[in-house]
Amino acid sequence: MQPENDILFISAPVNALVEGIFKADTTIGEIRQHGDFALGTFNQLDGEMVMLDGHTYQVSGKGDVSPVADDVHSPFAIATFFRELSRDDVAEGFESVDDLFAKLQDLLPSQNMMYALRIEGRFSFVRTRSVPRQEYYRPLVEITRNQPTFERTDVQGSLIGFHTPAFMSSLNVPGIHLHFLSDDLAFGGHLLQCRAQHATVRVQILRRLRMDLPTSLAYLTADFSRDTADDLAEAEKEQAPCGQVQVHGGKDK
Amino acid sequence: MDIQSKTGNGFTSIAIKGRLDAVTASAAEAAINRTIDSGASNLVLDLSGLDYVSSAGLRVLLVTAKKLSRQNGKIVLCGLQNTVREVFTISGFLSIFPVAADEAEAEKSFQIK
Repeated sequence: MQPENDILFISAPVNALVEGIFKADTTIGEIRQHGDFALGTFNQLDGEMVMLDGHTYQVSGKGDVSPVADDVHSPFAIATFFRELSRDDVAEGFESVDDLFAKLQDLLPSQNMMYALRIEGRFSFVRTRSVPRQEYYRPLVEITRNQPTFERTDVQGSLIGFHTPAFMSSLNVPGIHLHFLSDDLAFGGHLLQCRAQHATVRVQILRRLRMDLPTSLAYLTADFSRDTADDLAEAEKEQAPCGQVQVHGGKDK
Repeated sequence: MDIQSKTGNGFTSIAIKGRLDAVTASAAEAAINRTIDSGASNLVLDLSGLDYVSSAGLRVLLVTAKKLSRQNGKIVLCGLQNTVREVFTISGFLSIFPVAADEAEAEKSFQIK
């Protein structure tokens, strides 16, 4: 039996985003037809997207979190209907994002499969980034070099994300890719660093892939022959501390 | 988690009871590896006492199957409870492992035909 809801939906290949195609006709409403659990971004790279339990949130370039309507457009999103295959307690917590990723890898049966990951806990420290709305074309890797970052301590929340096999790097961010959303909906973004005393990890194995290809002029006439792996790796990781850092207070702080 | 092993006719049976998850996966993998390193290449994993298996547990079983395949060995699972069977079904792992109803049926898998 092949469950119909263990499908990863990709609204557009990530290579298009890396090459600067920041606009698409895909709406949040259309993405929600393919999942209730997602991450991505918005047209003109206007912040980070987090979708949890069917509710979509935008983490702006200023670090604000706000709900998103179904008619908002996204150039890139990955989604699934989340249902856990299993859950594990990480009773000892994790000291850093590298420690978290190492512990997550131990939970994944094979690197060659896709997974949805939902990690809930009380985080003693979280650092995220988001991207300000871009009015003019700039390569993704250049934009993220000056990304505003945001920090919060002692925060209850969820990490939402996916593991994608390395061989799919032109379609989606390879490896583990996580966005954070606090329970008070006041803090979030693309995860750069974190620490927690305890967390619960829920894993879903995704055995099928569905991907849409954009029909925009920019996409159809773009040259994707360049190897963008290095650009993507740099864009997703924590940068040297040259960006603006904001410390967020919160209701549960 | 509790692990007990015994030697049968042409195979070694390992009974895993309790939970096979992130907390117990390392101990389970070490126990299975000790059995394999002592010369066992045909394993029956008796999961009739296994209450829960997480993705971390599936990883242990996958690593074990790979290790045994390199040694021309074989692994057969038996006694899967409904909750455990469901995890194997959803993950697709039922297509990887031969599954028997019980140890007696699993033993037949190792008989020379």
